[in-house]
Amino acid sequence: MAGSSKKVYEVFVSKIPWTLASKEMKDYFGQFGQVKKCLVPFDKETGFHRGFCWIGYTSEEGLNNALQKDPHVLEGSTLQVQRNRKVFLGQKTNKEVVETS
Amino acid sequence: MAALLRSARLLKFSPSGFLQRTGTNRNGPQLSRLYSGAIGGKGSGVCSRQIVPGPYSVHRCVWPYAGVRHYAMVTEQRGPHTDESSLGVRSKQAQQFDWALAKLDSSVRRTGRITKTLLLRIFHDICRTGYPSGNQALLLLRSCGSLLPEMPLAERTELAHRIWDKLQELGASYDASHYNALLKVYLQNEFKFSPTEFLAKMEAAGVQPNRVTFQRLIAAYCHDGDIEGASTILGFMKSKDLPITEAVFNSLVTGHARAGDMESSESILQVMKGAGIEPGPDTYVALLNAYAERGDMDKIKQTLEAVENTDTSLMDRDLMQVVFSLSKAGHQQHVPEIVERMRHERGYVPDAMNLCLSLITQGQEDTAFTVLKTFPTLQQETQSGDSPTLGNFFLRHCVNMDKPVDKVARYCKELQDSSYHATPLQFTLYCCLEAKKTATAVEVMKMMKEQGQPIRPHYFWPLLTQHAKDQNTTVSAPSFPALDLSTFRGSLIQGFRRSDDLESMAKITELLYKDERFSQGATGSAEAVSYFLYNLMDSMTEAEVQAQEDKLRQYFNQLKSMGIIIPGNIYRGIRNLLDSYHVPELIKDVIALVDSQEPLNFSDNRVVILDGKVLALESRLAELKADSKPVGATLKQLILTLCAEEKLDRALELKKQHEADMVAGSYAALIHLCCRHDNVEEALNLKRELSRKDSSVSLDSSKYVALVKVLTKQGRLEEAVDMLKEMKEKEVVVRDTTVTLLFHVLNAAAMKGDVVAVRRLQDTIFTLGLATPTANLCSPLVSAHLETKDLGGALEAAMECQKQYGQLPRIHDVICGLVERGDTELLQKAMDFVSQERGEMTMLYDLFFAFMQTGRHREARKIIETPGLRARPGRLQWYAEKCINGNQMESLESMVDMTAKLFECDRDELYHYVLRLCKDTNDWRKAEATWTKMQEENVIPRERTLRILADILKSNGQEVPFEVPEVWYEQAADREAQSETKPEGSKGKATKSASTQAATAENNPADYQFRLLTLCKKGKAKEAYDMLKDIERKGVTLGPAPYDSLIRALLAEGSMENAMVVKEIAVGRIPGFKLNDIANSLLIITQVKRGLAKDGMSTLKSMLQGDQVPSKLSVTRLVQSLGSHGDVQGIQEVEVLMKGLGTPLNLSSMVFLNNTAMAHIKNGDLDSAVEGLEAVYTQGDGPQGPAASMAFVFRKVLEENNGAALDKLSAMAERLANHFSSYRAASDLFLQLLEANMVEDAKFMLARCNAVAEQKEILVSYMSRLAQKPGQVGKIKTLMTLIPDFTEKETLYPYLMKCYGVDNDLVSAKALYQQMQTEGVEADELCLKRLAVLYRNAGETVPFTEPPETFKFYAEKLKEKSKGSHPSTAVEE
Repeated sequence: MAGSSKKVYEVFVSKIPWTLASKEMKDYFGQFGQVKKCLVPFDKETGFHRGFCWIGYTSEEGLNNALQKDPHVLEGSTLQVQRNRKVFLGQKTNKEVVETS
Repeated sequence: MAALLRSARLLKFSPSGFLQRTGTNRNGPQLSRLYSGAIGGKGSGVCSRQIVPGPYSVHRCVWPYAGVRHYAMVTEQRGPHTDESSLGVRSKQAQQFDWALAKLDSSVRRTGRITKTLLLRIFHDICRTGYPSGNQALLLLRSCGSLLPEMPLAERTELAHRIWDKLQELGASYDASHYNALLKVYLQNEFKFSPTEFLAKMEAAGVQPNRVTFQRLIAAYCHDGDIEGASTILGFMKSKDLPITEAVFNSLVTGHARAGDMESSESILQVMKGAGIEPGPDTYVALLNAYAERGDMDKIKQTLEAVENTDTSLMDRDLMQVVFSLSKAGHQQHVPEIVERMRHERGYVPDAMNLCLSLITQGQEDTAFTVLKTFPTLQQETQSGDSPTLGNFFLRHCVNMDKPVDKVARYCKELQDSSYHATPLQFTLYCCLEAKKTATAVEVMKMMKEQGQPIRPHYFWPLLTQHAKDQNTTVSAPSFPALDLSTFRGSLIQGFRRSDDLESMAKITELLYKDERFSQGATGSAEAVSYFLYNLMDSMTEAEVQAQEDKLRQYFNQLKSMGIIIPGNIYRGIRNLLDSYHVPELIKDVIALVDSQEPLNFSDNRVVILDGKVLALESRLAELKADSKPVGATLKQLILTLCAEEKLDRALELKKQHEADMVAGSYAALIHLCCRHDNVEEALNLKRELSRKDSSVSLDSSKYVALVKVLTKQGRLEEAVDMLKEMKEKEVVVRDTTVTLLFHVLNAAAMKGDVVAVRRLQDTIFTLGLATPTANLCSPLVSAHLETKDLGGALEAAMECQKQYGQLPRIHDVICGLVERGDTELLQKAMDFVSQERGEMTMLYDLFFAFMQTGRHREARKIIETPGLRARPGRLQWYAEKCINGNQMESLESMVDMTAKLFECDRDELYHYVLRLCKDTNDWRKAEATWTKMQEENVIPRERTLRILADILKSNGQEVPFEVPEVWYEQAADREAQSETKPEGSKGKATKSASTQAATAENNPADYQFRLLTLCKKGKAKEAYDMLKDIERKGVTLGPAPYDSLIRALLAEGSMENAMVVKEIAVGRIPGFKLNDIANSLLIITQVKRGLAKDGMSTLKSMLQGDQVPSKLSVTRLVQSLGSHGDVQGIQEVEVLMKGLGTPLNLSSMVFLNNTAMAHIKNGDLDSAVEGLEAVYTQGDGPQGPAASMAFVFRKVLEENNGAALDKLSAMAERLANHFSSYRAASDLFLQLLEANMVEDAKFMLARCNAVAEQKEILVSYMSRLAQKPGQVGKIKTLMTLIPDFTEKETLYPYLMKCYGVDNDLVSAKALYQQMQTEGVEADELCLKRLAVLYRNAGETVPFTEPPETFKFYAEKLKEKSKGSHPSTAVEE
């Protein structure tokens, strides 16, 4: 896969109101740099997302821009944005691991 | 006083809202809130009290058919409960109750309500486990009323019925408390039923209705305005002589009003006053509700004003009921007027939320919205910076209740317009989506679209997801005994503790001893009287015993003169009590009562029976004197003995006679005795004499304090002060016991009202730093003033202590005095001071208890009802214990009564106190009434409460009208196990339950204690140590037991440093904490192990000084260590010390002899070594038989390869054998040579001393020792080759077999068995058993029938058999 060899510059966003989803997040975080990835996990049982997401930038610059802005207010709600510490062990990442190994 | 009361009443505590407190609320007991009547009284704003709220019948259905079924099967259904329920289920049940309770409790605590989901989940869990207990059932039933404001009334009742049926099916048995709870739920849910049928059902189930049942039935009649029905029940109650309480009158107020007769309704208040019952807040609320139902605002206002002029005051919660009534009766236009009157007390928000929820549920959402807009603290929530989201709960409940969309939209608009909520429509949509209400959701989205808000695709996702599984949750799931000794004893003890009449006390005791009526059958009267004495001592507090020491001494002496005898075991019990009270002086008076016939084989007998000892010592002294031998030791012993017998004159005389031989210890004892006898001059003389003799010697602290005491007593204050100074100068070690003694000195002066002396001494003690200022040590100063009735001085003194030392001693007594005297000025001063120093809460409690103590219950009630006051369990417990000890039922009951509405008051706990007192006084009627009261208050009892109640009833031959939970001691252990290993299935629940338990364990010393002890027992000393350090950081004090266990566990591991750290902690936490005998013995062993023989020695000495008895092993190890250090003198010292011990430890004198020899050898003084040992065997009076073994010396010498010593010793052994026919030493040497595998040497030895071969007994016992350990068979074989016929084959072969068994050597065992068979030696069963086990271990089939019994059985059998023939060859297993 294309992204597997390149480094991904990710932020972790939490406290996302239920009214915002993938599209809104991508639009908003796109202002800081090119977004390569946007993952908003949804809960299959309830149909609501879980209140957090990952935004992956193609460059470190995008990441830094996003981190420098504070606060991030979107439609009246303050989002919490931080550098991603843990690698998201979702489907996508798993796949990459499987393929590279 | 009145002014003061008002000022207390007006106190406003910071109105931090209910919601903010949830996080920090950790002080109160975890479960208090639910017990506290939160269910009925506190949590729900609406239908909490015994009154029936306003609404008229929504749906009138008489007791449904289902109801008939409900009650039919109670009696038959008990079955599965009693027979099959396993221990596991039961203990789990108890746990589960706690868990469920904690769950519900936290919900009620946070919100004042329970959600349907939570209740159902707990219900299902309980069903799944099976065997629901009585209190689980009660808990669930109680939750089906107004605690579910979000659920429509009919559904609540339906749920209650479902729970009732299901639990009954599962085997729960119902008693009156359950029926009463159901009634309460009916009332709260406005459920229409027929009271007569209800009674009939109870009767059919064999459950007796009680006062609460009748009260609630009256309420039910009144609810319908059926005065006639109510009167019938009322008449019935009167005929049964049941008290007519306020609750009944309150119901009647409602009843008359509902019947349309306002005049009668109003007149009830007068009737009440006539009956001596003051109308309470509930009465006024009933009346207000009656007016509210009529929409009569004028009357409401009048009544509210009238209430203001009475003692009672209405809380917001009360006014909320009026709001509810107004609204439901269609008079909502008046609601704002009432809402305005609310004071927004603590807890307003959750109460008001529940009011709103109830209103919405019952179709009054407009009123609810009016109330919502008055929420005060909601603004604070917006501080986080996010957009305001006020009224979420309101919108959600509107959606859940399917309120019309346009109505909700209107609320949304208003909320948004008044900036309460930034995005109300969005949130409403969220609620619709969450609840999968598609139609409403679409409507709301349309509205949002109209407002120009975006509608995003993902909004539809919740609606599209597969609907969660069907939410339809069908459940799968005698009279008084002629003379009761214990009661009689109890009251006697009460009397004795207060009485000063020694004569009658002794006479009564004698009667108890001699009158056969008091001796119960086989136990005998000696037993009765000794238990009485034990209980008497046990029931007295430490302070009481100390204060009445003289009285008790005389009492015991009188008993002695009456010939009363007590058994040794009781004596030990009493001794331990006296020890713990720090009055060891009394012990000897008690020991005098012990039957002299009884062999006093006390394991740690520290007090010697003195009879005859003086005589023996005196004659010995004379003998020594005559022989011009040193008499020092004997003289000391004699003086000590005389001192112990309080024979001062004789002792002094003796001193005069033997002036020159006096040692320091003798002086010290004499000084102490002089002080006790108030002979201060002589004491001072002796002291001077002592310092002349040896100025380096200083007395210990107890002697100094005794001097201080007697000097103070005789008014020689300055000398007393000098004595204290000298103590400091000489750096006398001050122990905890010293501090206690100092307290007694101060207190004695205080009792005489000698303020000057107390102050002078106290100042000296504190400035010198002899003791730290504790509340206890400070209290005598206050006591001194109190003694002289100088309350002003007492208050000043207490304030001074607070300022100087941060202690506020005896403030309760001071305040009580002031209240009693009515000195408002001083009282105000005291209150201001306490309030300033300790906070308002403390001040209010002080005042409350003072009023309680002085019987001013009205004033006390006003204080405790101060808004914002919350329960302080510790202080309530303090007063309750005081009442229990003082047998003050009335006072205790009124405290329990007054605290009914106290915030966070653990009601079960308080009722438990009452029951404890009932148990003490054996008053089953009161106990039963208490139980009824608990039902009235809707308290759900803990198991222990039910148990104590059942005990009281049972012991009085009363039927227990409920199911008694059994005690499972394993419960706690199970819990521990469970939190460690969570069960596989139902993981989620297990985790939750474990974490709840962990939460309950927080800050609970008992739990820590248990865990610590468990760790110690499991040998995890390090873990326990870490845990203790953790606990210490949290500042929790444990009892002495866990500290003690931990110290022992650490010492057992050899971690001496850690053990000492723990000791320091314990000493800091528990005044008077000392290492006990076992711990000290372990300490000695540890010290010795580290080569610190000197330290071990001093530990031993301090033990003996503290009247402790070291273990045999510790002394042996110490002596061995001294021996290996060559410390001959040390060994002698220990020997002397051991001889001075009251009871010999049964230490073999060989320990000292052998080790003395070792010490000599170590020092290179072989001649002395040999001389000492040889004397043992040549002199007739030395130890004989197997005890007289010097194998130890030989072994050591062989180990050390000390050839010179070995030569000397073997020469000695041979000499003994050949010249004195004493073969012991030679045999020992021979065997040690064998042991050291020096076969050649052994052979030579044998050749030189043939007689060794004939020492059958010694040889066989050597063999039997060898056979205990694996790998020793070779030595036995060697022995056999050296002395082929040292014993019979019948003895030899079994031991060999045993060796093979231990070595797991089947091949040799088989061969041996063969040999036995060919030689015709019969193998006994034990042998066969061993062989069979070997076969089995090797996986081979046993070629003979294996003896079926255990090893032990056959060993015993052989022992029995050999007893007759040859006792020496006892079989050891």
